[in-house]
Amino acid sequence: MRDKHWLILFLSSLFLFCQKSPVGFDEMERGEVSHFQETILPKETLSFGIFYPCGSASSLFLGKNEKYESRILISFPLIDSQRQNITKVILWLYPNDTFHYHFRIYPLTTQWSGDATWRMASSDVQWLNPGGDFLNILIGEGMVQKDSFPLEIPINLLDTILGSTGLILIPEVNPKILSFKKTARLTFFYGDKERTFLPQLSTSIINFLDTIPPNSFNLGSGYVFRTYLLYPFLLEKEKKIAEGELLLSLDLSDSYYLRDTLEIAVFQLKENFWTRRERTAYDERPIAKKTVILPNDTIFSIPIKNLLENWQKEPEKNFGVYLSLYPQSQFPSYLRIKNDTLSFRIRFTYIPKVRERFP
Amino acid sequence: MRRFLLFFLPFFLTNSQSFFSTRGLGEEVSTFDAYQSSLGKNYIFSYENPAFPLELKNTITIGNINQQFLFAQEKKDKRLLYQFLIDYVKIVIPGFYQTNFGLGLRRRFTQDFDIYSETLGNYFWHIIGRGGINSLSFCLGKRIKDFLSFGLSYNYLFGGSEEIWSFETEENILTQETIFGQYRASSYQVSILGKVGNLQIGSSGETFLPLRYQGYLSLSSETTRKEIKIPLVFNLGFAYNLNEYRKFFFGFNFKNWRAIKLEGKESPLFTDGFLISLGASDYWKEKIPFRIGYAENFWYLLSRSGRRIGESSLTFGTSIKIPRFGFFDLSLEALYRRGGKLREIATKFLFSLRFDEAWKIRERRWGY
Repeated sequence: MRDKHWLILFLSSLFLFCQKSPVGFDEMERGEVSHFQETILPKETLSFGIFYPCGSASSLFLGKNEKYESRILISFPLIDSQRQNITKVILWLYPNDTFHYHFRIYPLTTQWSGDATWRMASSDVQWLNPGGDFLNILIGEGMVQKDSFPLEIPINLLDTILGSTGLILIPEVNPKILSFKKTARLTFFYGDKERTFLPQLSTSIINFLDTIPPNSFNLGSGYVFRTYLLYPFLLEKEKKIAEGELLLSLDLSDSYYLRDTLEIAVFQLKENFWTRRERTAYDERPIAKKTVILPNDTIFSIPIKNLLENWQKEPEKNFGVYLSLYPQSQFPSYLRIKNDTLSFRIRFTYIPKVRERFP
Repeated sequence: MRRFLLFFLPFFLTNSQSFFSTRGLGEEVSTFDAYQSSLGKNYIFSYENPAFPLELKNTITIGNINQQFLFAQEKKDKRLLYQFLIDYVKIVIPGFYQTNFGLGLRRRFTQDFDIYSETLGNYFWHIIGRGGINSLSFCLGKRIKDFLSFGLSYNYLFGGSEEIWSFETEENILTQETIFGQYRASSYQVSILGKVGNLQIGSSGETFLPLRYQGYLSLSSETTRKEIKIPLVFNLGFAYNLNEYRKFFFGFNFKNWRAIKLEGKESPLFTDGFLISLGASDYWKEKIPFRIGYAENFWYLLSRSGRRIGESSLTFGTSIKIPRFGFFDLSLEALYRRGGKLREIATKFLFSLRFDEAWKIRERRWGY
């Protein structure tokens, strides 16, 4: 019982000492100690989509539906392989998901790189046919069923494989998009011996098949949708930004996402947008990010205090920002931003310069 | 014991003095040790006066612990705070030719505070001030006759303060600005103490060289420099010995600080400050000393409303003799401070150890 009394005394004393009543604040002779809140709207906006190289993505994407088509390109280092006495060739694929999925494999004919997109074989060479140049020789086809999927390739097509620049996996129509681990393997069997090759290059090339309404604002990955925004932001350097947020409101009725957690990023532009438009250089490290959980987070804010501080420090470097899904080379998805009174508003709070004891 | 410590834990985690410390140079510390405090803060009859005492036989060493509980109210808002600090150390040594030398360190102005603003939307300010101005003093006292002594002291004023301005929400600190301040100054003091029959009369004056302040704002990396000219401080004191045990004290302190000049200009922040004190000491059953004091202290600062900041304090004290050591002095002060709409009630506990040592050349004798 006595212990309880001590506890009550202790807690009540804590309560008394932790109170935050504004006693003495008015006695401070330090000018107006306050804070200010402002809202600004962008003076320039534009949304566009681009084919984006997905070589750096952690997965490979395969699928075709009414929104996207995604193909997989893989190449193995087979130049010094022993071709005699091969008894069997197996391509191992490792899907992340285990639903049934039908696809075909063809040999590629054009040299390509990890920068390949639906339109470009590498950063400076276009495909003759968007979506990859390949011979119409079916190397294999299969139905993905398990998390480790072996596909036997006929030996008579071995020379075709060796003469190709890689393999392209082309999906059948399916509402879902499948993702694979990047650890595909190609195994040559020599009787009771075998040799396994790991890919030297692998990527996904993604095309957007739907049409986007004009003047809509979208954020996307895989096939990347970016929204460019330029704000007339000027704040005297002696003022200190306490908080800043960019408000967005999503229109999920016209969005496409197969994952319920997406990350939205803000990238700073390094040059005037209108000089090179979609090819404008930007800082690839996002200045701000926000994870949204769908379908719940339809109205949210991205904290952008750092960005506003940069603009305050160097207003001449305020070329605007891109908004996009992050990472850009991830699962094909897009979110539409509502063009309402809330979206794209920047709301920020700043405090005036603190005054010293002796003004 | 553990429970006791547990109970006092929150007291040790908080630290704040007067809410008026945000202004000017802060709260001027007018209590030094428990003995002086319990006589109503009489300056002349304290060891801060280089002419005191008239006769010094032993070395006096004083260390002081100050604990303060403060309750403040402004309209309906209330705060309760606690402060603990060692704010006074002094040694006075008797020398040859009826001289005595002193060396001391004490807090002169306190700039400790802990203030919250009203909640403005989701936001509020939390401003914490720490530090103040200290004084390192070198004193010389000289007794001319049994009834007259003079004193001279040089005080090196130094210190620093740190004000942390945090702009917060309940969840986060959004931004912080820290103002660092540094203070440097010197002052000289002359004093006289005389005795006529049972009456002792003393007086002192202290003059300051300009106080130099350097401020630094962490966010903008701005440095500011100010020069503050502080006018004279004058002290007067009387002590009357009614008999062997019973004494009465009167003290008066005046600061012509309306004329404080900040960068050559007078500031509406300052006013003339003065302190009037009355004290008495006696012995209960001729064995246990006890002291009582009363002081009216009007600060050198005006409140924001332009009214004078004043405080009334009632003090009690006693001393416990520690054999072969000296004294353990205790003082309890109840204080009421007001200025504008702000009221403060404080209780101060002062514990001083007065080490009383007769320095002698001890000869070693065989056989002991």
